[in-house]
Parts: sequence; structure tokens; C-alpha cells
Amino acid sequence: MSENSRLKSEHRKFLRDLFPGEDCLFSAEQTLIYGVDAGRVFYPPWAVVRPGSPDQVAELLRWADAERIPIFPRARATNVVGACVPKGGGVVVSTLKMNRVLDIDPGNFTAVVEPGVVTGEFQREAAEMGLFYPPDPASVRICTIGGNVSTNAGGMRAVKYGVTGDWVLGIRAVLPGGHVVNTGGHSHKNVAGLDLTGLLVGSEGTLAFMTRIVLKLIPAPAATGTLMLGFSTLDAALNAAGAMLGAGILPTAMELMAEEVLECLAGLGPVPWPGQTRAVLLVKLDGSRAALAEDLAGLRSLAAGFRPCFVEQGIGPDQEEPMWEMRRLINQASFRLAPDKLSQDIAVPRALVGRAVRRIRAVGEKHSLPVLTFGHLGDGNIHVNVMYDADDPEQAEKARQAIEDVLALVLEMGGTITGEHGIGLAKLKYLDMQVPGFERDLMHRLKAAFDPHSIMNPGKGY
Amino acid sequence: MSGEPVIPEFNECILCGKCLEVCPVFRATNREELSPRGKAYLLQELTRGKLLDCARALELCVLCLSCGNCVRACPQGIDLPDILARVRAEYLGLRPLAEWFEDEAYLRPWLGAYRESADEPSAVERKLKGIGTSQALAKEPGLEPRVELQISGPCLSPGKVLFFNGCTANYARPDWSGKVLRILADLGLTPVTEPDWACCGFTFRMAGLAHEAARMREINIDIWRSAGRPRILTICAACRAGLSAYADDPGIFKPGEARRWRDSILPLAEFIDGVGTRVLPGARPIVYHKPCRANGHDPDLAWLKTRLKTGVIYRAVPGMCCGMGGVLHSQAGDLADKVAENCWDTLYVAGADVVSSCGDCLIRLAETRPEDIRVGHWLELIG
Repeated sequence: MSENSRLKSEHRKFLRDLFPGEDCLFSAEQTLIYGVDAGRVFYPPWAVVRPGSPDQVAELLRWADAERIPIFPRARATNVVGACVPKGGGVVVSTLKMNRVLDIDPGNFTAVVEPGVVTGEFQREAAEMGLFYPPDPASVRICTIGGNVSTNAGGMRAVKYGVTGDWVLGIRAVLPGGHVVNTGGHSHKNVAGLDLTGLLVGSEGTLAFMTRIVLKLIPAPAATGTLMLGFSTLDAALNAAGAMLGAGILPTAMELMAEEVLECLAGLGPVPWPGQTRAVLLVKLDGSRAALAEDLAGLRSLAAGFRPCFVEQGIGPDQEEPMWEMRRLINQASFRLAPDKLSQDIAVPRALVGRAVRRIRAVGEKHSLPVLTFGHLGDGNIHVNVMYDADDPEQAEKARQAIEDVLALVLEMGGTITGEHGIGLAKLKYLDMQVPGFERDLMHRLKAAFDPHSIMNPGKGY
Repeated sequence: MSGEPVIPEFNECILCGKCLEVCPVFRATNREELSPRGKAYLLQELTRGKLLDCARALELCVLCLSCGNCVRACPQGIDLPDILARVRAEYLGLRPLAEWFEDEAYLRPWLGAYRESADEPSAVERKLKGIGTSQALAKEPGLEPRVELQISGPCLSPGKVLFFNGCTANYARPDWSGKVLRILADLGLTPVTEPDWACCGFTFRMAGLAHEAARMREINIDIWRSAGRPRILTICAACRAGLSAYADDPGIFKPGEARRWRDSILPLAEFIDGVGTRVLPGARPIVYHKPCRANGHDPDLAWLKTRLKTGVIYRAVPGMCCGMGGVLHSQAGDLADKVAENCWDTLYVAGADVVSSCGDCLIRLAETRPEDIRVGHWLELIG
């Protein structure tokens, strides 16, 4: 157990009784992984528990509030901003045993899931019934619905289908103190009272512990297709993208991979585009078979005007998946360039995204550090990875400065410092650049209404 | 060997979680401390001097099936089964495993053959009997033929062939070897010699018995060289992976020989790929279990799908594993059972014949199968 643990022996007994056997961990060795997430900053947990039922969660939060023990909800911990880590100490609560799809209702176009359900697996189950749950963060095969709702995760299909929050109809959650609330419901439209569902979505585990989520579904599109286009200059790619969006076709997804990203991917394995490629666009469409064929042809013809050096088309998941898998591997591939990264997921108004990409790349040149730019070109949300070696103080300082420069220019363009990843721990220091003091104080007052003793994921988000 | 663990260097785990999709132990338990990410991070922090109890940390880390799924998923190329095998080999604290694996005698009771042996059961054999190793596979009745080879002339791939039957065929199911030899004779192949192979050694290496595994490797490579480096026919995905892995270690082969070794190892399915077949009628559904070690392209599944078409059911679910692998079964039977249970949740089709191409998987599947299921090598489907 952590040296700084405030857990007394009666606390440990309570936890052991409530979470028998292997579902209650105290040793430093067993709890180690629970102190870290994909943001790679570690804080030691005091204990780790794994509830299997909402009743256990309610009893836990009743106790935790009474005893003032911090609670850190955790699913698959693919979060990159340290939102899961138990900074300051407390009990990490794994949702992974609460992983049942409770219902998929094709008549109502709804589903009810527990927070530990893996998003990609849920999508597959829905697809087997001809239904579609669109939000697809890059980690879709690993991450959970609970994690997605906590961060209001986006993903590649957001340009057409929106983000996770657009698909959440209702949430059942436990408040600190053990009271269970039900927000929203099963209706696709519901405006009774204040939107508590909306407040919980994206709250990064700071308000309540979700135990069940009601999701909206739509019929699965009849057909999907992807175009992968390689260009010998970034400008050609950005101009082609602009032309496509301006032509009146709303793609399901439109993703950009710029030069350094392509090099990283080439380091992971064979890539289909030729050596002179400096930027790749991935464009996905869906719809009826007839519409898909027509739209794809239209896009190809539009793109031809910008002289792509590489064009590949895939129809249907079997052909499309290998193309999209490359996009999903970028974060991992980036570590080929340097051992550490500072990543941002800035977003700007859609029309300005080309300009933002160019200016961000100029920041990298200014500080002589590789800056990877890639992501959701279609909705203006671009991932920025500044790669560096944290053991080199000069590089570390340059990286820090580069990030500040990037965020400043994004805000100057009317954008946001985070489109998807959230603030968590890693971006708290930048929050004041975007959110004025009064609004931030309002957020704290709202939190106090839910969590008066500040036990829910304290010190995160805002 | 030493009192302190020697943890080999490896690329830093970036905690991306890609391994969580494919680790059978994690998928069966949802315990992150048993995931490859959890173990890699623990090993990493041990080497960085974090205050951790080494023995407790390693006890957790070695709860691994050695299936290799995480290796294929990891963008940093971390080979956890290999790291753990090397830790086991060096760390005194894990040597007690050695008594389970003194020599190949370990394999006989494992494969259900010990009751047939006239010898007094050894201490190892008694121990394994004690943990409930069954002879289930040896007792399986065999599957009804569902496909007939239409052999109409000499073998399409003439030339010398060595047949590596593998430990399961050798000790538990000699009928598999018999069938392969008959098929090859029907194909008009030049006499297939059956040398006195050693086990491929994979399980021994995973158990940390590097010397024993190296001895077996030496025996097998000598046999191959003495025979003129011919093709080696295999019927088991585990044997194939274990034998192919010899080429991963530098200094074992002469220049160019490693590649020749790898190219020599052929699965039966590829060998008979050119032979026509006719489907035979049968009532029982056929379900294919893909072994962990048949990573990527599985020639046996490909053969079955081509010949039986929709007559073979295969559900591709990441992280499915029979629960046999590595040394988990002997170290943590409960955990191995959970993995098997998880596997059957996907594999089960009422009244089915479940086939696979891996001797280890088949032992385990036969041991854990529901009542109405029969288990066998896909070979048995050939009439």
C-alpha cells in the first residue's frame, strides 16, 4: 500500500468486506498499474476495488463521502491527460467488471450499457442487429462507453455523426453519499428541467459514478467506402479537403496525416503510399449503395484536380479496416521519433483548420522539434504531438514552449485547447488561457452541488 | 542463476492498452494487474528502482499463457512471454518450476499416456495427476469423416519429407500420425522417415528451462541437417511455432540456413493444398478453434474454409485461448480454467465437433469441453 495512505485498518476491513477476494487490492505490486494511465504520470493508489454491481458502488460512495476518502473511477485507462490517476491518494475503482450490455432495443433505437462495456464490442453487437452507434475514438477497440461518456469522446466519425454526448439519452449514476440519480431517460427528445445528462457527459468522473448509460442508435448505413489520397504537398491535401467539404458532401470522416506522421507509420510496417507523399487524406462516406458509388466518384473526380500521387479506394469493412487501422496507430507510432510526447488535441473553427495546421507546423520548425499534426480535419480538431526527450532539459523546455505557442495561436483563432481528450490533470495549467475565472468558479460551484466534500476524482478537469 | 531477478531491457511500455484487446488472461478476468500492460509496467518500475517486493511482483508477472497475442499487438514490440521466460530462467525464486519439467517424462502424463506406461509413475507424474490432469484427449472417440481426399496421381510436391508428429500425436494420439502416414503413402510420396525427434521445446523455454530447451533444439536441428535439410511436415500449430522460433536466436544456424529452416517447416494443410476433395454428409456442426500460435494466416483454417465452405464455423474473437499455454495451467489452474470458460462462451455450438490444429489446445479443449461436444484434430475429418 502507498506510504501516504490515509486508510486505517477499519477502512481496509470495510473495503475487503464490500469487495471480497481478488476484487480488493492493497499491495503496491497489485495496485501499481492502477496508478497510471496513457498519460504516463503515476500516483500510488491507496487501494483498488472492482465492483460488480451498482449496489456496491452506492455503498462505496456512501462510505467514501462519510469518511472523506477520494474516489478515482477508472475503466480501460486509455485517457491521455491523467484523468484516471489517483493524485493525492485515494481508492481507484475499476469499472471493468461492470461490463454488460443490458439491452439493445431495435424498436426504440436505444441501448442500455454498463460503463465497462468496450465501445468496439458494443458497436459489433449493435451491428449484428442492423443498428449503428457511431462514435469511434481511435482507441475504439480498447476503450469503454463509460470512459467515452466521461470525456465526451469524439472520434473519426464526429464530422458527420457528432460526439459521444450526442448519443447519450440518459445516465444512472451514484452521487458521493450513495444517492442514485437518473438523468434523462429513454426518449430521443427530452427537455424536462435542466440537462443533467449533458452536465455529466464530459465531467471526467468529477461529479458522480455512472453505473448505467442509455444510448441512442440509428439504422446501420447500407454501405460504407473509404478513399485514401496521397499528396506530394500538404497544401494540395488541405486544398483538396477544403474543396471536398465545399462541394456539399458531408463525409462520415475526413482525416489528415501529415508528413512526419507518415514517416512514423512507415517505421511500424509497410505503408501503401509512395515515397514522395507528404500528406494523406482519409475520407469515409456512408449511405445507400447508389449514393455511395455516386459520392465516391464525385470525390475522386474533385480530388483529381489537386493531383494526388496516390489513390486507393475501399468498399466495405474488409477493405476499409486496414486503411483506418493505420490512422489508429499514430499515437503509438509517434514514439518512434522520440521517447516522450506532449500531445494536444486542439480544435479551431472548421474553415480555419488549414491555416491552423500550417501555423502549428511553423511552431515546430521554430523550436526545432518534430511536431506531428494529424486528425479530424473534417471537424477542425487536430491532434498535435510534440515529440522530445524528457531527459534532455533543453528539449523539455522547448517542448513546453512549443505547446504554449500552439495553444496561444489556437485560442487567438477562436479555437479550444481540447476538442476531445479533456483537461484531466495534464492540461489544468493551460485552462486559464481559455476559461475565464468566473466560468471556472461556476464549474466549481456546480461540482460542490454534486460533491460537497470533493471526493470524486479531485483536482481534475477544472 | 541468481537470487536477484535479471530483467532484460525492453522498449518502454507507453501504456496505450492495445494489449488489453487480445490478452486472454485479462479478457477472462478483467484484472488489469494481470494484463500485459500491467506486467510490463511492473517490470519497468522494478528496473527503475521503485520500492516493490520483487518476489510478489514476479509472481504476478508470470501468470501468463505465453500465447504471444500481446507481442503482435504491441506497437513498441515488447515480447512479454520472452521476457518472462528469461526472467524465469535466471531468477532463483522461480526454479521450483523446474521440478515439474525435469524432462520429457513431464509430457507423458500431461498427454494422458501415463496409465498406459508399464513403469511406476514418477514423482512428476504423480504430481500432475494430483492437479487433475486428465486423459480426456486420449479418450476422445474420434470424429466422423466429413471430407474425402480425391487422390488421382502422384504427390504434387515430390521430394524427401521428414514428419514431425509432435508430442501430442506421439504420446496421446498415435492415430493422428497413422492417418498422416496413410495420406502421404496414398499421395505416392517417397518414404517419409520418422526420426526420433525431441519435443520442440517451446514449453520448456517458457518455463525458464533454457538449457533443456536448447538441448531439444540441438537434437532436432541435427536430425534435419543429417537428413539433408529436407521439408519437415507438421500437423500442430504449436510445434510449427516452436520449431520456427529456433531461427530467432542468432548463432544457431549458419548464414542462410535459418531462412532455409523456416521455409522447410510445412503444415499439412499446405502440403495437401493441391489435392481435390469431396464433402461427406454429416449432422454435427463443425467449429474451428484457432490456436494462439497460429498467428496471422492460419493455413489449417484456410484449408477447412475452402473445402467445407459454410460447413465450418469460425468466430474470430480477439483474445480467445483454450487456457493451456505456457505454464499457467500448472501454476494457476483456476485462472487457466477461467480462460477456458471464456473460450467456450464463444466456441460452443450445441452438439458440435470442435476441431483445431494444435495439440496443446486439443488436450485442453478435450479436458474442459461441455458434455455434448466432441473434440479432435481437423485431420480426423479426413475420410
